Amino acid sequence: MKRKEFLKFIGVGGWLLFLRKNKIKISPKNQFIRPPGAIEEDFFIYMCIRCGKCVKICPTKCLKPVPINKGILEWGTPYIIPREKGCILCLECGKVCPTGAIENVKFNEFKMGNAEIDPKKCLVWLENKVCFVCMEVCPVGAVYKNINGKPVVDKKICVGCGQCEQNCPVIGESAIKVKIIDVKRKKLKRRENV
Amino acid sequence: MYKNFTKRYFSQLFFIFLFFYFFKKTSFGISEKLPVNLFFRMDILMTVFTTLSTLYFSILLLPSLFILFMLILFGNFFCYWLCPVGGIIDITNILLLRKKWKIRIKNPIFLHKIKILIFSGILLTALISNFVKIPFLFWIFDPFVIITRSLVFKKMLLVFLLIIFISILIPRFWCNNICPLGYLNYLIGVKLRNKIKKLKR
Repeated sequence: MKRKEFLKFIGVGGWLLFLRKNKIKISPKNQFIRPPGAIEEDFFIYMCIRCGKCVKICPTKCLKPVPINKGILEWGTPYIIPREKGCILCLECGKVCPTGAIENVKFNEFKMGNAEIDPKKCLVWLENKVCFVCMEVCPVGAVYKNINGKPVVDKKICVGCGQCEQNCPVIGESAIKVKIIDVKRKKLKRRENV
Repeated sequence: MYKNFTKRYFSQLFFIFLFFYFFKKTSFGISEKLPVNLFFRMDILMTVFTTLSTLYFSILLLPSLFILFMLILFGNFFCYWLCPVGGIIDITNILLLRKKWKIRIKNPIFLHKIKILIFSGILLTALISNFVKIPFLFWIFDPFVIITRSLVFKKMLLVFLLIIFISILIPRFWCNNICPLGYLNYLIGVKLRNKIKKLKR
């Protein structure tokens, strides 16, 4: 084996070992709740230049950069952890994004996810307690009481901001969780625009 | 370029001030008219990368085309007159009186190849990403990204301070050896400009 080939072998091997040891995934799956106005995931990971402007402007600091061990493709891009801090839908991040990875959108033009209530954990569903925190904090009024007086999420109205998940009083995992379903994100038209 | 020494420093100081002003203004309740992301929009490297990797040109990146045009007209003015990172490096060198300390180390020639490697890595990533989803790891080498992230995240501040520290020992170490944006500016502002000049003759 020549010296160059040997070095290449060590380089590639080392890289693969690093990936395996750190359990780094190489697949752009919609596993992160993106800020409001973020374009489609496939484009987002390349349009986002990881400048950190959105993180800087976020008034509640709910936007955080993806750490390398959560996905190498998405490393450094902004995402929301609703349990820690939900989005207040100020839509300021779209104003400062330099490349348009987060677009300056209006209220009816985006959907980050859908909140879902777990009846096995919810205090109202499980123990008939008077809680309804999720209903009170929802900025779009997507949580309402059904005929039985239990909280339900209107999937058409919910934008997935995560305010409900953040404020849920259940200890540990929240009884209401934002899931990345029915996401409404702008699709870019490849080649046609160029 | 160095004939306009004082003018250049004034220009650098102005753009450093502008950069920090925009950074400070990046807060809740910002006016949409204030272009706080102007420096990023002038970044040709990111324009090339985002356009090649998504095959989509964002209108927001139009200022970078203006810079490209200016580079062809006036040469590589960007690195010496406009870039806030280059400005900070130059000004810290003046403030720390490098010449009196006599700690100036000559820049090894072989290190020049690093920026070519990084730049070609960025181009390759952009081209391949159209077919296979590969990680884009070169954002860490963009000077505007480094300076902004170092102000937002404390961990990145160490990287920026390291860049400045090395640049005190070796003048413009970052710009000459690593900066891919600087290399692209050089390719356009010097190489392409010279070719155009030759063709004109």
